[in-house]
Amino acid sequence: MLNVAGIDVSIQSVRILRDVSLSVRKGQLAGLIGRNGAGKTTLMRTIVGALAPGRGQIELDGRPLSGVPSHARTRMGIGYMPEDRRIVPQLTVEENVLLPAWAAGEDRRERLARIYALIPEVAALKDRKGLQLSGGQQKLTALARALMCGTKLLLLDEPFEGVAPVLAQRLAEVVALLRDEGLAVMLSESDLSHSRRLLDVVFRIDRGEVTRAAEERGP
Amino acid sequence: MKPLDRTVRRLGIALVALLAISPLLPDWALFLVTVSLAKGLVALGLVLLMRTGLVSFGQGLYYALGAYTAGMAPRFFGAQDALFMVLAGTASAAMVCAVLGLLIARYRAIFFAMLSLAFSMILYGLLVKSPALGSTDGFNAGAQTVAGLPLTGMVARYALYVLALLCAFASAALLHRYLASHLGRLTPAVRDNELRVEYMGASVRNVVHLNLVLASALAGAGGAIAALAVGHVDPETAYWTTSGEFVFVAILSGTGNVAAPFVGAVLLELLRNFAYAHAPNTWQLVVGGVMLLVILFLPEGLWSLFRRRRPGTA
Amino acid sequence: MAAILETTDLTKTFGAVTAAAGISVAIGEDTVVGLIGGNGAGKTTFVNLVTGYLEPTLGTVRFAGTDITGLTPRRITRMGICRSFQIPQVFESLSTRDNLLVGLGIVSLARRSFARSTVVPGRTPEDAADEMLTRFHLEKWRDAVASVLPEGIRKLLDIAMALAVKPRILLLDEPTSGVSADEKFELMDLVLGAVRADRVTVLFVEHDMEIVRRYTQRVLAFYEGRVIADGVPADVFDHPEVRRYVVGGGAVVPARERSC
Repeated sequence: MLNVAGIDVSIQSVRILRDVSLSVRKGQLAGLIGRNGAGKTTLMRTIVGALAPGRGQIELDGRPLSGVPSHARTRMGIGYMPEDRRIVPQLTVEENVLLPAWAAGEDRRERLARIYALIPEVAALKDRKGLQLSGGQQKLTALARALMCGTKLLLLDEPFEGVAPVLAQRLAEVVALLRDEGLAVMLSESDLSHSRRLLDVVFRIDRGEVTRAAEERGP
Repeated sequence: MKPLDRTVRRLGIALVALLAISPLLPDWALFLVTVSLAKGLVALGLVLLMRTGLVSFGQGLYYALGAYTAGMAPRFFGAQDALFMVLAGTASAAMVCAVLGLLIARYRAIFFAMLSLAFSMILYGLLVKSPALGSTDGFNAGAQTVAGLPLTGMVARYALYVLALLCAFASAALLHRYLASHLGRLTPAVRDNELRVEYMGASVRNVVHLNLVLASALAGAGGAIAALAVGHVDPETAYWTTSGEFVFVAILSGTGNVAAPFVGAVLLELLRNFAYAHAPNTWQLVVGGVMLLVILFLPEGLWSLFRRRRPGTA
Repeated sequence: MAAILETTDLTKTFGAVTAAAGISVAIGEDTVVGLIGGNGAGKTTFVNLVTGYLEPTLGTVRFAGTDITGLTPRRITRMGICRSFQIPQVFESLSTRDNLLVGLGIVSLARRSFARSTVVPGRTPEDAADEMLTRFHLEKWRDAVASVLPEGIRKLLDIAMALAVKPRILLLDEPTSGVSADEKFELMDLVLGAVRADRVTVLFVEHDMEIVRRYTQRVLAFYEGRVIADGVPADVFDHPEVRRYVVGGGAVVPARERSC
């Protein structure tokens, strides 16, 4: 589903990613594990289109993404959950989650109902305004919003960080369920504790270079 | 006593150089530099405000206050001395700002910009409506002496030029020292993160108020010097387009260095004169075009041509 | 032992939302307290109320016997209560060293209004800044502009800035979130080591239960704006409601898996 081949990415002439290649198949849950500053967020932002690689290729479901602007990539089915959440404070949770649907001019209420069923905690907050949410609640909203667009690929940047253990377990279950339904998912973390049991493949990233660890999935 | 840092030394060199070449400059050049430096003072104040995170579209208020105070000095203080006039202009602007700042320092962004604009236009309205001050015609301004020396002959030719140079040098050097001090460091801190500044025990509003007063003092000094150089005072000094011109100079020069606004002001004056001489019917188009080019290609101002890029760590 | 921080019936409502519901706790001096709870449980609200960012709807906060309810963050900081933030609040355009100098400079300018001071007479703010850079292992980032700092370093800087004032109470909001596993312990050791000598009371909000277990003497568990458990870590983690709403599952807190 997602194929990244040999990309270099620099920010303000500082090289962040070097010759990065990885791929995530449909129905596969990939972990991108690395320290802070290693390049996890940069890689995700590049896939989503916020940054352009200096060289190399990115493909989604066979289609090359170079030259495709961010909003178009989202409509192609990439759902992105940024590390810093980026919730619109004046809108309610439901409005935030529906934002991608409005932008695409589509009625996605069925999808919304599905998301609420998957994450009831967000349903309980649906009329709360963004600025009234706690940090963890914003994270949940950001995840729900990513699910709204993510029909093919989900990119989750540190989804379990800043979230109570009980909820982290629940979210891990949700993500695993989506994987089982055929979504390609890549999540980034600084350590494996939350997701070890779930990941099908682990990519380790260190100082901008990615290596693939052995396939991990186990009962 | 701390050794003079690099910027102050360079300012000193520029000061000495400009003083040294003055006998070689024709009268129009001396006049141009004097008026440019006066406007540069206002732009310097704007640069300070921009570094605090604020853009004022109403520095014309203080510029006009400085000009009118200098012009009215003979009438109200019986004073004929240029130095006194400049100091009086500076003081009157600063005092008005000390009061207005109590209100304005509470606002940011567009609200701040609109308030500053509003106050300058209030003054404009008052000036236009005062026949005693010549309303739209204004009145002539001039000094008889400068720091005690009578303004005749050689002294007359150089006095305002030297006064403008010294004011510019002193303002730039002092502002540079201020920004490098512990108190001055709060200026970019306020721009970056007001919440954090409060959480470190300092008052954001006090920092903003102080900077507003400093900027107003600079504008008042500039207004007084310009009035004396031109020899005339009128309400146009408080009009919003005058304020806009100062903002333009600040953008043209960039906020990178205390000397930049002066360089920017001189360049703008030269550009304007050049455009007017060669395209008298469309000179505004030329000036606007240049502004567009600067914003597109040098968004941090002309000064960014000189600055090396600051490295991050590996 | 007299309480250095005492809240009585502390309540905060935003319209229909109750962020804090009658919180009454007394914290003794020189202890390390963990604040845990699910999302929206009221942990950050508690910190905001104590540090003056929010004004309580009801209730009071007392600091060493003095009523500080409703005072501004500026006043409270000067009295000796400092905090770090969930999302680090630094000065993006300034270097790491300058970030520290902002706080140290403020203290040196207004020394008499600050309860304690890192900048003692005879020592310049610049020396204090350099010493803090060394103590927090930030020397290599000394001249780097804050906007390029990686997340873990920004967190550390945020906390270091809170310590410029030498507070008597330090509140940390999720100090290790966004910090890699192998750096978490180092960060906590560093921060707690820096304040222990001064008998500072530390309260920190955390989701990482192993950090809480290892560093705290007391834990307060929040749920829907109330404190549902208060005691030593082992007891609080075993509390049925805490298990259900915060730490999860029947099992004990899982051991950490470190990435290598």
